[in-house]
Amino acid sequence: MATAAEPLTITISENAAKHVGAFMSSEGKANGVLRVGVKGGGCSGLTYVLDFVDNARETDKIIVQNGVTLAIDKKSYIFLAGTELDYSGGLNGKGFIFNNPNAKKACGCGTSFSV
Amino acid sequence: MSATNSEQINYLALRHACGVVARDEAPATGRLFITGEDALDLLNRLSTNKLEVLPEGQGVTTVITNPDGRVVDLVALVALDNGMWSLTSPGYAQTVVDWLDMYTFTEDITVADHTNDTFHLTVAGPSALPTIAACTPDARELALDTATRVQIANASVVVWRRLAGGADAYEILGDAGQRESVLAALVDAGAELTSAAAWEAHRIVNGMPIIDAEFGLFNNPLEARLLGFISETKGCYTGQEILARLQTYNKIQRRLMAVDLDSLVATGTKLMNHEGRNAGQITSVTKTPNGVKGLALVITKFATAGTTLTVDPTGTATLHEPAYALATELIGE
Repeated sequence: MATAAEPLTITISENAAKHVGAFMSSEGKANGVLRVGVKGGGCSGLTYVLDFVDNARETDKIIVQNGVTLAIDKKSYIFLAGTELDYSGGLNGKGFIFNNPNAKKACGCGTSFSV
Repeated sequence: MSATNSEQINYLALRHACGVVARDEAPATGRLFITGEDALDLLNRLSTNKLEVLPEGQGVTTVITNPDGRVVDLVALVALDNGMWSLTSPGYAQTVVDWLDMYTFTEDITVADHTNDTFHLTVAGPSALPTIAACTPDARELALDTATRVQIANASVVVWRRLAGGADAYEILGDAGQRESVLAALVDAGAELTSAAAWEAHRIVNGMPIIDAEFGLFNNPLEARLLGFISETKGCYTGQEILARLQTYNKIQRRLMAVDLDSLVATGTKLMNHEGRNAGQITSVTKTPNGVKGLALVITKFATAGTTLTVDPTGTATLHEPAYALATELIGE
């Protein structure tokens, strides 16, 4: 018997969550929400968006993981489903990284992608 | 343009006097009204020209490009009426609406398609301004790419001076119900009602590229010589990395050129160099009182003014720089 596929979600790694927590505290938004999204633009057409906000919108998809509340608008979710938000630190680190299985191409600087 | 007397008169009016062209007849331009706090920012992110600020009355032309740097459409925008009026290429209103919608996530932007409830006339030629002035007490000289509202025949219309059909002209936009009275006023003031064929001849002689002929999803705006509408300083926009790479490494494959032809040929006709090698193809062609003129996308290494190429099978095409490209490249500097 065929089983329903597990719905894709967005995950945040422990390392990324730790850095999100630190950044939110330093901005005085320790109880805030991490808005994760996509906007049009950037060389490849779609650019990742990260923002600390006080509250999620009613229509947002909410994911709580590793102590961080993620708020994703519904349209962005389509492009981000299955994505892991990670963090690459150190001198050569890139900061927050979106490991997005939907991204077919990315621009040279890695901030935009196309599907 | 065929050689009928009326079309020759239409064409000559556009070149030497004043012609009025019904741009809302097939092939009709698209007319959009765009509002919202994020509208300009979104357009700035999705197109080639710098659109960070657009003061009331100011116009700009920009190229919407896809992630491969290919042309979705060339659109003209002007800030007016607490929003932006936008002219799309004929038949491309819905394409632009859909494109903007696809890239709208949480932005505050509304794009309303007014193609069917507005009119669009273009008044062109050296006597365009005095002709409009004879129709309205509100007429004043506008700087290029600026617009204002005036009354013509008791109708409130947008008058927008810009390069249309490749040369200085005035776009007139208004409610569809007032079209005939505005058109009649312009004709009464001396504008020659001009056919689409004469307008096409005017456009080709001016060297202005259009969608599906000289540019589109089959090429990038650099090939069509739309450099004047591409900001090299604005930062990222969709397709920017590819366009920057093409420019930096001189990898632009073809180049729009104006051509003098010795006979009428079909668009798509191949050009060859003296060794019979492919040198490009004719993209637009028209017969004018000064001979057969055309536009061509020419392989870059052959695209030099003064070069004569063979038109398949036995004709000749002499290449010139397209005036519109030269003029807009200067504006862009």
